[in-house]
Amino acid sequence: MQQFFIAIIVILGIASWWLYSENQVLTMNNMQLENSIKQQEEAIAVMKESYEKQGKALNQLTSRNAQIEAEMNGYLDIFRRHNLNKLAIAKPGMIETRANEQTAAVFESIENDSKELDSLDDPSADINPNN
Amino acid sequence: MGTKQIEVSSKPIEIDIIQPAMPRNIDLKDPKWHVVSSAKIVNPCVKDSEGKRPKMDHPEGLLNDKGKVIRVCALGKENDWPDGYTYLDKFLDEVKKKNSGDVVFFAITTEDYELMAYNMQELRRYIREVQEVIVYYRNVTINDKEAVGAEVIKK
Repeated sequence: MQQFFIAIIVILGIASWWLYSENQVLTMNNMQLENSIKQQEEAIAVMKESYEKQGKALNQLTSRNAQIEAEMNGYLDIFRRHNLNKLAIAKPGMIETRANEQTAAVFESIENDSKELDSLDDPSADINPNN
Repeated sequence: MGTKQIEVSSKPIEIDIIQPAMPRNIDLKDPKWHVVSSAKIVNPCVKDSEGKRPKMDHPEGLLNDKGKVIRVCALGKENDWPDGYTYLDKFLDEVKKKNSGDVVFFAITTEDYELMAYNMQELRRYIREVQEVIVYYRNVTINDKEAVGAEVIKK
């Protein structure tokens, strides 16, 4: 009878030791998984931030494009509102001056637009996204 | 059998995009448009020392349609243009002068000038919109934070 109880105690001891070691491993795993989840959450937050940044930049791009189209239509509207042929016949001197001034203005604006892009390299430029 | 220990390894994924050098800005030269028509050019009177253009009655007392004496420039005309001199005459004279008596020039009608203006605006629009796309890509590809990814390995 005594030997039976000893055997049971030994079996229970081994079982307890096995359960304890399993528990240790599971605790470690749990800690590592929790840590992993935390890192994943951080990664998701970074990705979310990146998507938000892209969305914002895309909206900005769309609104800038609409502005550019509107500006172009504004310039071309001058021809729709005036009969340039009639004006040029009557006052060629005035139209010559205006045509030359406007050509110079358009060329200057194209030059300025390209300067804006060129200045992206310049660390002190306002348009530089790193500023 | 039994529970396996896991190992979690995380490594940052760096996406390095080298930003290219931006192109040199555009340098344009302004062409000169000449607008000519058969309209007569007003030949102004010569200015006096005060900057005024004095006039006087016609020396021979010529009258206009209303019966009034025609007023003429007291100091003469600024240019020795003949009567009825037009913008076209002036332009042709200038061209002849430049080309040793030959007449040569590239002409464009008003409609084609309007087309050229439209084309110029369309090119400008395209340049600006492409430029905005470049700014967009540059903004979204310049990283200030590195992306982090986690990898789970079962031992």
